[in-house]
Amino acid sequence: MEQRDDGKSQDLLAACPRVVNVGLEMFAGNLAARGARVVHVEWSPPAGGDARLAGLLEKLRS
Amino acid sequence: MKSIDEANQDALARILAGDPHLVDVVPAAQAIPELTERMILHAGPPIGWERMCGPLRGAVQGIAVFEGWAAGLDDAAAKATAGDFAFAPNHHFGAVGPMTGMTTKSQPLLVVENKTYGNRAYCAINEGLGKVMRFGGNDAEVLDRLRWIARVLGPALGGALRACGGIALKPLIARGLTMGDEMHQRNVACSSLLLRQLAPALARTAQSGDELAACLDFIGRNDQFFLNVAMAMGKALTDPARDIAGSTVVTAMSRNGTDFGIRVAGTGERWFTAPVEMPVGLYFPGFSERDANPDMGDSAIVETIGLGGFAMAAAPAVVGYVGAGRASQAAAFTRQMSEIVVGHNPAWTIPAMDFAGVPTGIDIRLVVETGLAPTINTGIAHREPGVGQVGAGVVKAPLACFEQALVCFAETMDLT
Repeated sequence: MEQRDDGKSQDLLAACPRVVNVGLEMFAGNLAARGARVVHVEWSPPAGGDARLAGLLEKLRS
Repeated sequence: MKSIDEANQDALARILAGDPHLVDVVPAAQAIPELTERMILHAGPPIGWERMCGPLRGAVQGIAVFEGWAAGLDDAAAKATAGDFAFAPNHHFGAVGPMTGMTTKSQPLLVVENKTYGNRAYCAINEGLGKVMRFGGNDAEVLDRLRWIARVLGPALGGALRACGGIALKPLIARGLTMGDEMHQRNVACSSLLLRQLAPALARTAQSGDELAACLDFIGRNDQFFLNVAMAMGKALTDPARDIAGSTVVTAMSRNGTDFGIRVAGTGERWFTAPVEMPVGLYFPGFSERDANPDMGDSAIVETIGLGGFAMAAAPAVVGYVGAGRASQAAAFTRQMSEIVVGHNPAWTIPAMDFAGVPTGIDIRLVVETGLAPTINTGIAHREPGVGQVGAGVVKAPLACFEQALVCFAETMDLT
């Protein structure tokens, strides 16, 4: 099947990237320092990745 | 059986339905009959003399001299070491106290009555800024001020409040939020509003013109006068939410300078504690973080009801005072705290957030899940006894308290 390409993939490579960064803020900072447009989303795994607490939280959802 | 979410909505509803009024000022022994000779109530979860930090020890020494239980500060320390004093948290007796939180039998206590539920809560009168007992001050100037508060100001305020039938606090707080207060580190609007309501009654009931002038001058010079009223109000609002089975809402946050403690509706009287953290903030000239004591006081009860750090968006001026960034960042603190609560208070709104209600009812599940610790605006005490306040800042509640509470709560629900 023929793939349509409106030139967006070319734009992606040629233009400055626009980035949504999730999690580690350092990545957003590095990109911003190089002139990229970045929106950072603060996120971390539930209970900071503590499996026991995350399991308890799952049970305590009502 | 109710779900946890339903139980939490019950807890929130009880907090929001409260109708707190400042009704009286009475001697502590009258407010708390259990408060007998050589008994000292302090801020935070339970702690003995051997683990007390410098400013708390300084306050204990000072209050023992004030009460006549020791001949001097050294004698007071010796008696404390020998076990002559009984220590207990304010929270165990319906009371709260800022910073060191000293409450003993002869001190006059503000009385806040929650008219909806009929319960009362108590807090000592704010002494002013700088070298004061709540920050560990204990010299002659500090003790003389406490004696004047007990002999003159307390009875005068009590008489005025009884004469005017008390002062409703809910509308006063609502007004203060629109005037730039967050009721922890900024109370200038509410102190002024309170004084405006009290002054006519004080004028009618004061023993003399000189006494009236002294009382008005003392309150008028203290921008933090209202803090202790707000704290007693916080205690009066949260106590009816204690002991709600199945609820994960926090009913108290408190620190004694060594430990931070929380209580949760579904686990009743039990404290969950962890080492208290050091505030990050700004210091008065001549002091630095090397002088600072870790965080202390029952005053985090105001964050427990959605004020203080939770209402930072209402008080952009305080962001600079506590060194928490630019005024334009104030709303970010309130937005973040909105992620760890079960609701908002429609009676207390913030103009700068399109009149959104203050975030209320901290849910330990949300704190643990997000890793967002409650933000508390606070004063900073010198780590040595007898010096006093050296700065103001922001401190985070330790996540470990909430993690312990979550595990215990799950055990009570047979879910481990």
